Amino acid sequence: MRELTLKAAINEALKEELARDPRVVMLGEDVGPYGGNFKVTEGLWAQFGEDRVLDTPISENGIVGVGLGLAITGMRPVVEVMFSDFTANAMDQLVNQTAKMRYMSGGQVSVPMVVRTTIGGGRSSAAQHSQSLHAWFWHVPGFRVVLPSSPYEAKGLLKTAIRSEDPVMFFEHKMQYNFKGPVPEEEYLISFGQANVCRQGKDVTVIATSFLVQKALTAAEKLQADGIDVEVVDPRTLNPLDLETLAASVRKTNRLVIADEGHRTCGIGAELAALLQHECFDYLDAPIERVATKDTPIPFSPPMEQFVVPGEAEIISAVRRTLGRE
Amino acid sequence: MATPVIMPKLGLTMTEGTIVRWLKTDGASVTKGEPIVEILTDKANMEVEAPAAGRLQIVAAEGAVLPILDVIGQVLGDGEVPGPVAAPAAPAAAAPGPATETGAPVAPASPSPAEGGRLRISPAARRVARELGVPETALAGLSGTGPGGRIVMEDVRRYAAHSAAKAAAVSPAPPVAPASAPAPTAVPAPASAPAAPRPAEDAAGEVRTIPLTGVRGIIAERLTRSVREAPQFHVSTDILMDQLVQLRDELQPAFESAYRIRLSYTDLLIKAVARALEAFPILNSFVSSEAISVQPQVHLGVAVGAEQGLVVPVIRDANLRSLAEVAADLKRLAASARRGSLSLDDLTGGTFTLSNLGMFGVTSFSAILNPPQAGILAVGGLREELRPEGRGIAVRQVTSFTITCDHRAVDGVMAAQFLARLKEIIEGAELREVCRP
Repeated sequence: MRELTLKAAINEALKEELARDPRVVMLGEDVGPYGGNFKVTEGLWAQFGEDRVLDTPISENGIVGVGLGLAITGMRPVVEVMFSDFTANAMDQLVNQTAKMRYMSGGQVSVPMVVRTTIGGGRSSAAQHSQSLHAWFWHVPGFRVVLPSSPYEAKGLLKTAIRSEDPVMFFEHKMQYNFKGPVPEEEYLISFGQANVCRQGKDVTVIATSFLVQKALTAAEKLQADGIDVEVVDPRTLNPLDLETLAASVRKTNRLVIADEGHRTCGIGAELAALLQHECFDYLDAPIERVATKDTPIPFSPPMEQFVVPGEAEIISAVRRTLGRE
Repeated sequence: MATPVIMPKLGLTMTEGTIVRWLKTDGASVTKGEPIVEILTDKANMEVEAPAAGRLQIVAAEGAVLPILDVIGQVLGDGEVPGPVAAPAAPAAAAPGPATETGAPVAPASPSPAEGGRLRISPAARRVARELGVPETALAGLSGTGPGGRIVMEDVRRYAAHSAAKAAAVSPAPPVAPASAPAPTAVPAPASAPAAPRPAEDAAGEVRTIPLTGVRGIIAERLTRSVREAPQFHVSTDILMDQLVQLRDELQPAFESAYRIRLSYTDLLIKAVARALEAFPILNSFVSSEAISVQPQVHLGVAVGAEQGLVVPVIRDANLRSLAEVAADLKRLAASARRGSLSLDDLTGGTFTLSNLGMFGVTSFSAILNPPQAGILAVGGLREELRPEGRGIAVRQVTSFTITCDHRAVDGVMAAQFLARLKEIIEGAELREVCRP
């Protein structure tokens, strides 16, 4: 199968959906002629014109507000917010308007808008451009929350997101844009609410999201050399959540590590641990371990950033802790 | 006001009990004094009565093992709704000083200190233990291999597999030592043993796992503790039984008509042993790591092999009561033991134990101490021997007696002197006096 980078896979998804449905429009900072801060939207402005691919002023609250207006009047906007850190600027439009509209109108309008944004440290972008704030949106009812972990996932999930009737928060990891993976030439969609067991194992389940799925897979290879057989499961979407697949894996391995790059406190790991201890209490052989970003602003200094943001080493030691084999 | 139902302390050595079966359903109305739940103690199955009239709220599930004084349910008064259970009356800082070990049953004496709090075990391991029938007491002895030394599933599986293997290794041979005495009313049979127990023959010769639970678990736990804690030694002697056999045959018809009791050799032996103990108070005592507490009364435990395993009902004041009373008591206790309906009164307070395997044709055997007692006497079978008599030889009836003693309390000389005294009673003129009907 051909291989694409994650950013090319997203670009292809956008291109196909723009071509397929005239209601699909894109808007964001520098998404037009410049091709996007991370070069994800390259070529789309030239192909579809400025009516479909719209550069906006630097105002996240404004961009999201326009997207919301477009969505409730019949369009299917794809909004880019350059960093998830910047969603803070658009919080009223997102949390109080976008997420509530379908509910408060009694279903008279829905908001088929996708907000694409980026998460993740690793580029020395400092405290305001490195956060992974997707947990905020899982906390608020009304959003679909999607975290692709590979080019294949990114394309299939984004196409589903664009066709969704609900607002979708779509989190892309900066460090994965140039990561290559197999992507079929023919069209495909990935349904929401279907977790993916990326690697079968019998000793410990690692539920990982986004970039940490990739890290968990390499960690699993290293642990295999020590005779530890790790199962890696990617939930792919947090809302809706495929709890059954996650729980089935935990019941099989009796041990769980949750790896997510958001901050630890009130993070994805906290919620998944709460859900899964309840589902699998009688199957747990060890306390559930969390791998997360330490509870501090992300440092600019590369060694310090590396210390704060989790990776393969943290996953390996968490897996070992669940086995009492540190 | 809601009245709590607690796990009662039903015996001196009881630290925890198992809820076997609730006899009433949750929410059922109960009258005061009515049996509501069956408890398995370290000695027997017991029924616990409702402490008040009202509606029963069940707190502890069947199969749960709980320390004494824990709340297992409560009885609600009129109009009360089930709610959180009241904490059990705080067992006021356990009375210090040596507990008076009277062996009185049912006395909720000073509670044993919580033994190191909760067991560190993973939920998964607990579930697997439940599924495999591994008791909580067995788990407490495991060392865990999980995080922080926690017991995990694999540890429980390994333990279960290990015990199964052990059980398989032991089971083909008939059980040996610890005094599984048969029905004491049975007539002692010479050499020919009754039908030997048939080794378990399972289809396809598969290993059969019998979990050490219930009475077997209690036997395992108590006797393991006995062997681990008490330094035990054995002393044996042969006693001529002609007189005892003759006396029994002589008394039998009168007993049969007067009391409708078939007199057994064990009945006579109980009387003789009780008399012998009077001169050896140290042998009639309880031994702990701190002290020897000499018991003022002679309560003789008699080992009985019941279907579910060994039980030891107690003949109270065996030295003071008549042979007829002793015989009647033993007959009742043996019947109850076989039905599994011994009461706690029947089982507690023994100060010395008699174990008789004579009717199975054994020559002699040694028993394991029944803690906290200082001694147990094992009685072998009646056999005929040629003995020199005057210038000729005579056929005499002989039985071997083996006493097991706790060396912390008893020395070899005393054990030997006790056997000599017993021999003196059984072979001498005193026997008729001891065994007055």
